[in-house]
Amino acid sequence: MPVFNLFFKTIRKMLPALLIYLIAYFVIAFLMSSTAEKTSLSTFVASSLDLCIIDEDHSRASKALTDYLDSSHNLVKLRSTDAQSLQDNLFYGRIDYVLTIPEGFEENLAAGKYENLVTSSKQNNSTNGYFADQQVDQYLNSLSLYLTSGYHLEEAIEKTNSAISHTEEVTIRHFQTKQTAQSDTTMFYFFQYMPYIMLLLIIMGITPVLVTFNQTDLSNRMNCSALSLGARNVQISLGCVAYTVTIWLLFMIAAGLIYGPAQLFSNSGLSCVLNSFVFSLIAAAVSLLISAFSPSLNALNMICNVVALGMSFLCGVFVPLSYLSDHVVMVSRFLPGYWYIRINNMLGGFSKEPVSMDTYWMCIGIQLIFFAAIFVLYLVVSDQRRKSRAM
Amino acid sequence: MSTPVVKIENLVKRYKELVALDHFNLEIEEGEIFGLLGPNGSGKTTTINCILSLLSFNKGSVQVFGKEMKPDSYDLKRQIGVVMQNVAVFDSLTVYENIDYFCGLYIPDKKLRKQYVQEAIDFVELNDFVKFYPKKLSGGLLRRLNIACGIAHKPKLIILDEPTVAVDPQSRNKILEGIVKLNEQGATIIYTSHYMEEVEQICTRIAIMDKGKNLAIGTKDELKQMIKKSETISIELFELSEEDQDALRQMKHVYEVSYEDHKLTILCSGGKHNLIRILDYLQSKEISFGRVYSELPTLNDVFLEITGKELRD
Repeated sequence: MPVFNLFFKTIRKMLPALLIYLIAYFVIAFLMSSTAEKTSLSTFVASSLDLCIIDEDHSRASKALTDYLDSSHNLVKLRSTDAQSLQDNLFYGRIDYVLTIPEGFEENLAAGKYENLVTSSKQNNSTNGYFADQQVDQYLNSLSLYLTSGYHLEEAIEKTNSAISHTEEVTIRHFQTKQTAQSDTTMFYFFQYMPYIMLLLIIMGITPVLVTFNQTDLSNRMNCSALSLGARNVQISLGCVAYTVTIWLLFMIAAGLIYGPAQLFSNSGLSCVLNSFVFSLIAAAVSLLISAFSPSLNALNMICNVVALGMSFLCGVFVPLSYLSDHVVMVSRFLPGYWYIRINNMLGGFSKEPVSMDTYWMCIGIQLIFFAAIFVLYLVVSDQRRKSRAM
Repeated sequence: MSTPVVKIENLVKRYKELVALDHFNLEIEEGEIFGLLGPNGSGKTTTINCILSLLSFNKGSVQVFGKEMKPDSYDLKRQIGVVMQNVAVFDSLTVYENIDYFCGLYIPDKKLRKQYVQEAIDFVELNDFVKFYPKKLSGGLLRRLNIACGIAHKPKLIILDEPTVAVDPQSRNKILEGIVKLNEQGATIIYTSHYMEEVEQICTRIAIMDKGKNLAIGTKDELKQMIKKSETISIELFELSEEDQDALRQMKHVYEVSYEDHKLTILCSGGKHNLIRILDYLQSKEISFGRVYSELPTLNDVFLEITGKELRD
């Protein structure tokens, strides 16, 4: 198998560059997995805000509202409470929220005048501020409900405090499969970025070898030899397959080592494994197609980066598909990377698309069609070039 | 009569409007070093590519070892070694690996191949460079590697397409000596070049090509006898009158006389002692002269007379 052996001897020269990409990816994946564990959703805790309450009513009702907010937040007393000073404190982040309880608050509450009962100020688009707004609204809604139901103020405050102090255990649910929900989503990040590095490694490995084989002088010399064209093509194909599978296996072994075999061989893990294998075939077909155009070896690095980065950005590898415009998403549908990412997003819960095996197999099927189309295109282009050379 | 190693009949190859080979005929016998001589673009490489079935042709036939040559004639290809005009080796392989790879395309047996590769390395004297990558080799060494890759499998027919282009004189001599040695070992050689000195030095038979046609074929002596000129005499003279020039023109076998920049050039066709007779005339007229040269015709003269232009035009 002289051509098969030559295939790997030629790749040998590019090994240092390929290893750098591979190791860098594994290190980043490993670091990401260890960082992500600490920031997982299971570690969620309610946070306390720094509130400033300006009570101008000094009533029983205003005191009750102040006490309620004091129970879950930090009340901050400011020396000056004029509008300018409050704005400055909000701007510099000394306080998160300002609640002003105007004079007549209790009277209005008792009279059922709920409009502009209190006023609030918060930092622009502050989530924390909206959270505090929600709590105030919730308290006042409960209190007014009891008052309109005929309870006295004291009773209504007591009932409201009792009702609002009752909390339920919150369970966060993802749009994920049963297995995924139990497991760590970082594995899906590993598979999410894989198209980029897979394209890069496979194109950088296969294309230079094939471009060298296609060089007119070398190709002529081999065409003069006693080794048939068929035997040569079989050996080259075997080389491409062996290299692609080796690269893919390295990724799978790394995934197994980082995330554990239990996770990799779970249903969702195996789905990702198959998805990545199909994509590795596409990467090999893309490499073949590029080589059929016989670019110069110097231009190859640039072409490789353009293809890998272009497909990755357009198909949502680096930027989630939900952030991309409809036009970009429409274009990306014509690229195989989109269908790979759609599966990964679905399995990893990165999109709102519910997990469906029908969708999964549809995406796998579309990727296989892409593979077949690119491969046929390669055969046509290379056949045309071979014929034009012999003319 | 033995079967010719290569037989080309009525070969026509067109590139759109351009006729690269125009009803080209050729027969090469076993044991020859056959030279294809012609200027760049005369059709030498096209002929070689047609012999090797690398190019399709419009008309005619090519036979190698008595069989029609086709792209899938692997049994015939097994007996042919090719050294291309451009160096065709893999930059990613060492000298040894390159020779081993190309030999491996013909010789599957590992043990035999190892022996052949070593013999090829010895032959081109690359023993000190076996672990070198091609980019580390000089132009001459690279050409030798190119030859080793083409001959390692011990072919019966070796085709060398301008193997000495851009090679220093020392390496060129080594390559030419090697080619003669391969021929002595039994290989038939087809050698293309536009360097007439090389062709004259090593080839037993020569075909002169131009514009895709075979203009003349024969041994170098046969080719030289085809032309009118047999001797060129050049004499440095301070002064020569028109009368004297006319007198020289009237001499036997002289067919052209010119005097320019104090240099008299006389072309003679056949005959003996032309130089002595011319010098006798000059002495009798008391015309003093300086250096005297006498040159026999070259293949360039043959080409010039047949085509009306220099070989390197």
